[in-house]
Amino acid sequence: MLAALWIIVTATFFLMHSIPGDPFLGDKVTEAIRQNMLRKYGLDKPLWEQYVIYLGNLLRGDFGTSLKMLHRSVNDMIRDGFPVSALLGLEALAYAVTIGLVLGTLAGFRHNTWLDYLAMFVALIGISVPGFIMGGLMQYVIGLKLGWLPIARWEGFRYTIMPAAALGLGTLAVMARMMRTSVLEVTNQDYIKTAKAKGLSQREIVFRHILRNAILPIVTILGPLTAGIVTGSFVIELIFGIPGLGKYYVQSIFNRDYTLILGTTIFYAVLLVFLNFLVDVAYGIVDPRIRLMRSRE
Amino acid sequence: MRRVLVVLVAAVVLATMSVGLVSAAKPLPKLVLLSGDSQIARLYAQGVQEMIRKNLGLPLEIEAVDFKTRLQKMRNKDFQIVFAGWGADYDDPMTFLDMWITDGPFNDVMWSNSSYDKLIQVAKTSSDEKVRMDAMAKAEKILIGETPIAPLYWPAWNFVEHPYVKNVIRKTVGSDFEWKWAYTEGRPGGDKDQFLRMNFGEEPPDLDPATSTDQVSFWVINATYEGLARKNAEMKILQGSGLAESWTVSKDRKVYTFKLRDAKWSDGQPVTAYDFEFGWKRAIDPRTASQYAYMMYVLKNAEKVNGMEVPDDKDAKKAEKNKAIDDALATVGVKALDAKTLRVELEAATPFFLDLITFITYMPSPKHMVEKLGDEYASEVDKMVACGPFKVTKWQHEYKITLEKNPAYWDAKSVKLQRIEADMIKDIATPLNMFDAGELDLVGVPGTYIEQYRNKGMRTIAEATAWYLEFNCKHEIFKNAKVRRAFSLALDRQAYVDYVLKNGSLPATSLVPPTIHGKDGVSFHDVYVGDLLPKKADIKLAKQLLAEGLAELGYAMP
Repeated sequence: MLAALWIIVTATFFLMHSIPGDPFLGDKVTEAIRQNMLRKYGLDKPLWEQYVIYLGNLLRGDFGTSLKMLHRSVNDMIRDGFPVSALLGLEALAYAVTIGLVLGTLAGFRHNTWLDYLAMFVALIGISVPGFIMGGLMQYVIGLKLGWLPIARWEGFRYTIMPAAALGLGTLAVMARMMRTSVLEVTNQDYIKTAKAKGLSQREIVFRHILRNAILPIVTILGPLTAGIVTGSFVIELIFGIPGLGKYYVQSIFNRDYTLILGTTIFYAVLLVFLNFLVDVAYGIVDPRIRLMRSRE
Repeated sequence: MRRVLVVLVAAVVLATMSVGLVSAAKPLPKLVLLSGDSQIARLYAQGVQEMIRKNLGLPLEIEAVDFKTRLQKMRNKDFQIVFAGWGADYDDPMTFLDMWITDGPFNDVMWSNSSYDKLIQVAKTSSDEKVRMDAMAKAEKILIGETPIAPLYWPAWNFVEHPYVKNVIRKTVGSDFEWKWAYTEGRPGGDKDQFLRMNFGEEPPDLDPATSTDQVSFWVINATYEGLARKNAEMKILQGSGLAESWTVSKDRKVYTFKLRDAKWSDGQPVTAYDFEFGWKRAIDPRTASQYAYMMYVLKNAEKVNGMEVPDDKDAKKAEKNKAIDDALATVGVKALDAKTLRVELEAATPFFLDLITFITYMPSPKHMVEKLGDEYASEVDKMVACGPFKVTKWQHEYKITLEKNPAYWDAKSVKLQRIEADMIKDIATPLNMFDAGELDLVGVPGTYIEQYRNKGMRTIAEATAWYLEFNCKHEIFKNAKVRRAFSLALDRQAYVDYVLKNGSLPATSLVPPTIHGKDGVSFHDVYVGDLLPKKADIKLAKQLLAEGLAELGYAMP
């Protein structure tokens, strides 16, 4: 795991330095002053030396100072932004997973009925309409025209509803479609027939056998999905004026803000690894055959 | 019959010769226009591409790259034509002209003209306003004539405000918003609570006046600090308008002596001449690495000191080099004679120096705070103080900043607003929705929304900025002035602003925008320069110049 992180850090470090430009290049910065700034922030040193220094700081948990916001440390920026993004992401995830799974399950069991078509229509919209379009539409209709919810800002629960809905829409659609396919597949398995032949009640078949098996592939994608959604969405945070982490991933590259690029990338990587670990644990709960502990016994 | 034969033979000979000429000429290389990669930048570049195709019959490729890549390519001189812009730093034509001198730090086109250099030198050293203006007008004529750059348009800024918003002044040069005299009258819900809600669009990256460089930070600093003078609503600089009560100027116009008024920082400490000396020298000190240090170069020895070598940690002569910088800083032309008197000495008589003292880099630094906090000064609300009409009372990073009236400000009685709340929403559509819903009081209208707001009281303000095409004067084709001029004349500037920009921008018929003042407050462009370029394309002349230029270079006309 540490090796993976080290590779990520190294690759990111050298890749970002290969992009043309640097943090202090500006349309009104003379070459002499730029050199002065590069020196002040240690960017005039040979690249390998900067790399060694960075790794040293990283081991102490120090991401350094942002090279765009010269007064702010990357640690502070992540500490301030992540809880906001995480809250928004978890809310989006919560409703995407619940509604998505319910829709997908219903569609799976009521295969080729109007219920199935309706659920898949919703899923189609969710997949084909990007979150920022849906967000903008909601802002205009629900926020401006109807005045039910605030258009933007981040002041309390009411402010989270629209962005979370817009953010979760795509995931909801993926969930619904995957769950439907999965349910259909499991329903045709031999062991379901066996269960029926044994004379188990319909309820028991559905909950103990079908759903439990059908949900496995969903759990698999839940890890990366969660990491993606809780580290913030650039566009959704942008249009709703939410002070999350999402925009840093894009802006840091645009600004050649090296420390922020590395900080956010490493943070994301660590989170991804951690969540994948959680998924493995969750696997064991859903499917005892792949329980971690047992394999060691 | 014989005559016919002669004519025929002559025709054949001529035709053969011309074919020979054509085949001897080199084919034109691929022509590339370097531009930004935002949707709007691409659109603007395509407008140029189309005019060159239509009016000169030349294919022009667009290379769209991101902001930093474009700048890096410009600094590396790795371009043929690049779309670029420049905004005024101060209200004098010089801010647009001195960058084109030979080897000037921003002269990416590598153009060089000794007459031009001389005229700029005259304008920089003369204290006679008339002589200066004439020299600069002459210089601009040379510049536009030789066409290392082809001015295209002078942009405008569009905004809407609710009718109850009064007296928010938008300055065309420098720090833009001026809220000192703003108030509301007739706000639904009453005017008892005097406040203003704006959208800044982004986090102010740096609220330390000595190092700050960006627009949003400038808005906040202009509201929370005050220099020796403050521009009034008519953009005039009057004695007693800022922290200096009055000033005197020496005969050679090189020495200014400012008398400071009784003023306090928001923490109760007095604002002294020492704070000004300290702040200015901090910006000049190469160890501060302030990007806008060049704004201080009019001060005696400032440029020299700013260019001194900064030792790094491992330098064996570190102490020595640091001492050399300290010693040199003492020779810079700014000195507090006592707490109330500031003496400023300039390199040369600089008529726009009084405009500079309203610029952000010329604000005082609270010595008592900065010496304690160092680089951390102005990083959080409790790590900064104010000496202007407002002070920062809440700073929710990347989200919202709140300014409140500063009761310690010397002219607090003129300040009616109690509070300014500013969001940092980067999206362009959201703030407009919020404005329509009454959640914002004033909002900028970006290009794509202009038609929607045109009849809703939208106002247009000309900016002190110019956008132009830069030609690489060392490029095999664009080293020829006739070719460059052909490109410039092929631009239909009026059609471009009417049909491509559609945002109230003006066709640039010279470089220095009409918003920049010459002597006695008249427009430099209107009075001293006039239209050096036609508003419509001069296709005939452009084609002729192109043909001549290419022939001189030995290239085939396509």
